[in-house]
Amino acid sequence: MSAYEGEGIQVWSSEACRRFDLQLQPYLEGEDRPELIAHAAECAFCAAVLADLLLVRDAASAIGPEEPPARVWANVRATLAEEGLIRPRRQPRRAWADWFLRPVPAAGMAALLLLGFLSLRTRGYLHLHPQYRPTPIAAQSSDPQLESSVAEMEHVFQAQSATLDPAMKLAYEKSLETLDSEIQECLSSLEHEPGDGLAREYLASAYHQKAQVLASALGVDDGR
Amino acid sequence: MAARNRFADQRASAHDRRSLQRKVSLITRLRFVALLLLPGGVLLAAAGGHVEKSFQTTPNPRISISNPPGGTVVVRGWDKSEVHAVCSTSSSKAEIDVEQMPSTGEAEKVRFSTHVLDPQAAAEDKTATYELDIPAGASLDIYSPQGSVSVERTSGDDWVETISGKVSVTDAAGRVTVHSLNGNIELVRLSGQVEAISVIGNLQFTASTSPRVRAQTESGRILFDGDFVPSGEYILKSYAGDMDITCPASDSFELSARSLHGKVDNQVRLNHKGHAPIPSGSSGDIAFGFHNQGDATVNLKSFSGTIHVRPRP
Repeated sequence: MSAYEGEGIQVWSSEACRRFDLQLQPYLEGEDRPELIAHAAECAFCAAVLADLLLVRDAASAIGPEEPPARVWANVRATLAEEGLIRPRRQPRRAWADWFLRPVPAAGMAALLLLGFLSLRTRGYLHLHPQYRPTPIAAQSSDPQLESSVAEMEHVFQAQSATLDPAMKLAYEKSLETLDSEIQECLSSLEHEPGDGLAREYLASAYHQKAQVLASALGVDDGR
Repeated sequence: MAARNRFADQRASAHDRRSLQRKVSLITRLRFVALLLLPGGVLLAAAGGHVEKSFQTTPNPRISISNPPGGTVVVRGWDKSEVHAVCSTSSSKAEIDVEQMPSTGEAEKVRFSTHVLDPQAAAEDKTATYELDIPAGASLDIYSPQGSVSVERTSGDDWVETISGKVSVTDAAGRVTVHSLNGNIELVRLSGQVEAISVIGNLQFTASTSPRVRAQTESGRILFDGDFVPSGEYILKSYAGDMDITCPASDSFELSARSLHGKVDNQVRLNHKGHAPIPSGSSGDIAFGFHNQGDATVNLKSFSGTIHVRPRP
């Protein structure tokens, strides 16, 4: 079932893996793709890819709008003018240049990067190593998209857990149980004191940790 | 007639042997060419046995060990530009590959990995153990989900990841990052930047002189005994586990300790330099203030655990 063979060589060993790859982008954009979820539950490689991309998507959506320093826009403008793509400032700017020179929210840029990443991966230029370890994300607050991603990953994990080494399965379940109880306690604490920043921080941290644990479980290479 | 037939048989047999020899020779040459064509040569493959091997390396090579099936990993730094490895597998159902890059001369990277040859084999038949001496300046990357890991006397960057294995890092001067889901993490005499994260495991720092520490565990305990060096930053966070912090009374730091549903037991003298003793809008048990001049920053947080801060007697 694996779509991965050797170092740096990607082959689609099953039609299901190929279909999974084609459905990834629409799924990550919010379309309902039950076939993709069903395949991820059967194929460890595709499950790892899905888990990684869900984390990338969540990390991207967590980035707020950021205004780059003025010198960046000045350099962009100077380069575009030098290449003849825009006219000097006194001339009226073209609509597209106007759009291009507007500050683009970082989340939008991240979405573009994600699409680029998906497109490269679809074409086989990029691989996710089975032991790929996403960098921990700074937890600031809980967000519904992260919660839904965690739920999706958990669903895939539950479908796949029977194939895990029993000791590893136990280890993952123990960690997830701890984090689930932490989430419940934080939610209950927030019910009593909704404005408590520390409880909110622990809640977000627990969700991020859970996402990391699930990503590790879905991407683990234990020689199966 | 019979003699002619025997002679013909012998000739045919000799021909077959020559043909076989040519084939073997060709295969050997092809294997050699294939080895040369590999980006880094696969230098060693051990199955069901014990292998000892040395590699000449640069002073700061990158060493990685991937041991998914489990087994102990012990790595020690030494002052030679050489990796000396003693590896073994518990049975022929697993093998160890070692890859050196570049394949000739001083290695810049050496990669060790355990592969399971028979996935149906019992867990104890798939394990591998590693004992390595590496250049002290090497950077190290260890992934060993099910086994214990011990690293000693390194000055490069160390990254260790386990799921249930215990991790111990001793006398490391470089940046150390350890992630373990359920295993305990023990860090002794570290002097570089440290990040230690676990879900269930305990985190224990002994004789720390690290300038920057980030430690987080959910249900495990955090035990920190060490110096808060001037301008250092220490962020220690637990969810339900208790925290025991011990430092010399002469250390100078700004303390912020807060437990939302647990207790803060602070035994170091704090002054508030004109600030309110408790930051506004904070709930839970809190200790906040400056010890001596307040040079380092110490931030301790817990959801329901107890935080103890004590001066070293």
